[in-house]
Amino acid sequence: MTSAGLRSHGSGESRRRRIVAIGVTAAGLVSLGVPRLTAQSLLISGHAGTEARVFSSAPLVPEQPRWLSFSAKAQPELILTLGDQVVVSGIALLRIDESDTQRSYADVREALVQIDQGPLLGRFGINTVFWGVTESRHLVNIVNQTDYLDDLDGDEKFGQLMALLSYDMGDLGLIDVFAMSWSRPQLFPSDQGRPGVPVRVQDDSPVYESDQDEWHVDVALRWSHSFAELDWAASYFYGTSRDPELIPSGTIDQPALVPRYDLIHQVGLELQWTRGGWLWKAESIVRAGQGPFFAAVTSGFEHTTVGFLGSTTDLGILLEYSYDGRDNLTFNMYDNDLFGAVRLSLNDVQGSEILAGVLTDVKSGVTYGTLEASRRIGDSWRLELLGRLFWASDEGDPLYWFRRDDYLQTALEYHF
Amino acid sequence: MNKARFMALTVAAVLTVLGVADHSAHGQELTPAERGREIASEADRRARGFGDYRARLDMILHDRRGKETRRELELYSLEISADEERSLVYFHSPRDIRGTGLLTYSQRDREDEQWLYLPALRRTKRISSSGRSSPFMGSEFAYEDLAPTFVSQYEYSYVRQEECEGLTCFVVERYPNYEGTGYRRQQLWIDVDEYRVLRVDSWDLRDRQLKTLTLSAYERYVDRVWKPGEALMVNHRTEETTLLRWYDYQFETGLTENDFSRAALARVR
Repeated sequence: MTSAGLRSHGSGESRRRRIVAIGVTAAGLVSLGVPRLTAQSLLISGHAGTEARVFSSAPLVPEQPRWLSFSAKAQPELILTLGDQVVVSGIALLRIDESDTQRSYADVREALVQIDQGPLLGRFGINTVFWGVTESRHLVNIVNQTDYLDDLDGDEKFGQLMALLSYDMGDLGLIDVFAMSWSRPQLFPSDQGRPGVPVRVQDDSPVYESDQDEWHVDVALRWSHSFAELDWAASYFYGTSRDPELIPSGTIDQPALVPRYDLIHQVGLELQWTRGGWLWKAESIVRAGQGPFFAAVTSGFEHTTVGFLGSTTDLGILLEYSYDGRDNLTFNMYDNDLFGAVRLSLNDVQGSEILAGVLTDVKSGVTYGTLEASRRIGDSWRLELLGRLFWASDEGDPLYWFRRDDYLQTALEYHF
Repeated sequence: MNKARFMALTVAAVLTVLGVADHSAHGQELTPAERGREIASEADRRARGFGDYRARLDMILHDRRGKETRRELELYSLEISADEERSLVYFHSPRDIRGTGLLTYSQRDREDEQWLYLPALRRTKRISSSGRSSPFMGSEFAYEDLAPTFVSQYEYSYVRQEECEGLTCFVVERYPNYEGTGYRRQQLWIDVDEYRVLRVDSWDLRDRQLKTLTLSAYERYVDRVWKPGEALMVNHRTEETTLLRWYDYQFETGLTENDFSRAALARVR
């Protein structure tokens, strides 16, 4: 790749303008639809809440918060049902972070028109889809960009502009055909963000392999099927990669990293075998176009014991192994790692759940610990406790950046 | 045909006819197991043939101190055959799990197939159906109390006939033979006229009485199927109760297998 082939595009300002433009377009679509069809129901829901992080050590970067950091978030949602076949839906996210300017942002998570024609289902607009079966890593799940600013667990996604057609072939499974554009860049914490990256990542001026930058039309196809105890899916994706390579740039005094998004071909496989209390899972990808061709796999099981020790609690044991063949990606926590976790579902009125796990690099011993616990309070509130621990003494591991950033987070959300 | 053979066949035929007549005239000659199974089969036959329906369901939980919690659900159900049923449950409240869906394929003599749709992640998860004895949504109902039942899942024993709720009822005992049940046995009160289940008492695996379910406000739909309007589950051990209240029942709504697919589960609604 020569420097001529690399194009830098899109300042933060223009990105924000585009987000607004998409939002306005979506609102226009909604208002255009209303006069022609009789609205049968409008549902406004969502949640809003606050979170507080407490850090166990002083930060690496003096600009980062020392012990405490606060944030607030609101996520209103709207579902408008127009007759039997058309549903319009929207989800917006607004977040304010006390210390990290990057983490104070607004986003359109969903602005979608869904048209239902029996076995054929069309979805047009900004949408989120999920592919995959494993818990520790979502390897095949490529359609949406991950929002790591919201949470490090990778479950939060930026909305993806797409046209999606799903055809239900009954006994032959389900086919999804995607055409996508406006690929969203991965966003990184600012200097004040914690956990943070000690080097500035120029995520507002990424480099794209495609001449159309983020506007390349990506395509994808997925065939999923369920037969008795077996669920499986095969997928193909061609387009701009969602996970960038970080290319060193800047000066010695002010080092920086520039995210580079290549055009890639990816084939993915998902497999789950469900029997009794056992779930056996495997996900695998092969990818070309991002450095040398490589393969990656995540595989393991989840076993649930119902009514653990005579109680109504279900005890789940999770064990998964991940291998990733690429060696040039800056963030690769899963190159040769073992994940073990315990999940407790109390089956109580409050829906209390606890998941505690560790992801350990088999070779270096670098370990990432995670705790997620939550319970409902009354009918409308949910209290969540999160813990993230980084045991990283190996300078070569990406988690080394976070070695001082162990934190505990409490969040209280009101659902309306 | 020779004479001896003809005579033998005639005698056999007469004996068979007599035997049948004797059987039907004196039903009590069935063993208790046969009689119990016969009643359960008839109740099962009458509960089927609904085709498809949708309904709303309120779940009202009361803890020991009388504190009330409510959940609202939406139900869809489709009969594929006498041996196969599909159902879809959507949660409207509590609001933090609004939009969560549970799709279940039930088939006689097979483990249920279940998928859970989590709207926050837009994720559909195939889940284990082995947790039949786990509480449903923190209520006093276990999954097995709500799942469709098939006659072959139990051994039966006829107990007696007695007055119940102003009607005459068969009392039948049944013993689950499927894996993962939390019950050693259950006693059912089934009215002799319409074969509606009016009460179910359940004993845990150590044969201690655990729960009593009372079904009431039955109504007849599409001229054939009786459905309860209310079901009260009392847990004798915890002294907690859960009341289910069905409403807006709609039958023959034209639901098809398309409405019970994994794709349908993940639809925005």
